[in-house]
Amino acid sequence: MSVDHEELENSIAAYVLGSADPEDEDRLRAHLEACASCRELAARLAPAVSSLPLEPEPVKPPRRLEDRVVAAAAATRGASDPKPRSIRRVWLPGPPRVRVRFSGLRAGLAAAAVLLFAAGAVAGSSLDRLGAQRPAARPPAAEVQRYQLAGSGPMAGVQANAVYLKRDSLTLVDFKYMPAPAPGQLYELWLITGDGRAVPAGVFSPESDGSKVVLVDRNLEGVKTVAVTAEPAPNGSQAPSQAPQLVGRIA
Amino acid sequence: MGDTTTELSDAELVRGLGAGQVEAMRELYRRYGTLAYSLAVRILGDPGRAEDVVQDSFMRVWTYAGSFDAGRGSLRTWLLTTVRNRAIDYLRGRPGRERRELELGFELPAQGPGSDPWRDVSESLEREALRKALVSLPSDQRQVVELAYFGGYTQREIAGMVQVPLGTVKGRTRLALEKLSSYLQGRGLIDVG
Ligand SMILES: [Zn+2]
Repeated sequence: MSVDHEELENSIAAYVLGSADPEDEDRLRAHLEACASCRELAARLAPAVSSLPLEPEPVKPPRRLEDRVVAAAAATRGASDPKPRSIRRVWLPGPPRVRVRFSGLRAGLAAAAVLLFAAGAVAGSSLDRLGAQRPAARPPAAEVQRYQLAGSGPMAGVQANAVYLKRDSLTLVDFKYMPAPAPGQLYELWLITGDGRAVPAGVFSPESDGSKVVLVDRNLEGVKTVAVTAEPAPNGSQAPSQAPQLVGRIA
Repeated sequence: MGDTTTELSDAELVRGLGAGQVEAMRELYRRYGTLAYSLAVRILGDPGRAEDVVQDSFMRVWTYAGSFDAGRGSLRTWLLTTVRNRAIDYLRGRPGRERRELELGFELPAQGPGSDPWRDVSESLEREALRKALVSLPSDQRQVVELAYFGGYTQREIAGMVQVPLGTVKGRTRLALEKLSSYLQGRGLIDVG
């Protein structure tokens, strides 16, 4: 074997281990297509890599994780087309909602998306569709608050990550695995103040895959809790008509 | 499903997932939830994030079960590869690039169906052998596997960290995987054809 081919073989081993440099991946894939002996090498090494996940000490997951996984699956089962047509979607802002202002949106939105990516907080999530680039610079941490909403019952599987950009008075909430609302209903987001007042912050319906990005363009001064309820379509309610199904405390 | 003595094969389980049967998802979780979570915790060191990664990975299998080809690898490998890659993406703050988990299908079909106790025993045998195999590697080779697989570093990054030429890192990677393979294969724990 030539030196060059030996280098390729070693690179194939790295590829099988998931450690190839991104700029080499296309070259290696092309070579695998063309070279039977490297395919054989990859096939020989792959089972050892498949055993590596057994190395860690087993840690029993919390009981709620099973509930989350099952609830998330159940939430997407009702989708009209449960199999996605494509992995990436193009995000198009819908018409402004009554209570959500979109002014100055573009800059704040891009900043929020960049921040989420910068922290890896929602890597691979529906925010992909915002098409954000890698971050150039991050605002100081004091300018940014992050929090998560936790669900119960049929909402147990929901992941909801929020980022509040203080300077822009903009909050971006990224929902995943939301069950479709009951017919005639949609979801409403509430900002609950320290004195218990629930301020409506927008209505939304998840996409068929259970995802949604909701923007709240206002200052969260005095807000202690963010919550979601199901309310009548199309306009929601002025006050929550049920106990929140998703709740997050603002630190 | 449930209390049957013979458990579902991967192919049967995948059919259930593809048909949107929530019980198939529960079964998948019961089989591999602990493995998936342990791997995510090992990589991330953060139980909260590990939960998200595990949920996302199961949902990926749920969503794409229809494209799963049992002839190209086991369900366990698909799921755990997804967990590993998602955890690394989280860890390194990478946008979830389109990974080709399904295309990394070099593995032959895993062992056939068996009872739960059988799986537990075979899993712990495999774990024990793997750990012995890792310990038997020269430390520079073990280090490369550790940094690459559990740390998510690429070959160039490892070369920079360890301060050795890139070619040397690749050579160590190759040697490490060759040794692990022959060790595990010699104990009949992996099947190579
Ligand atoms: Zn070759």
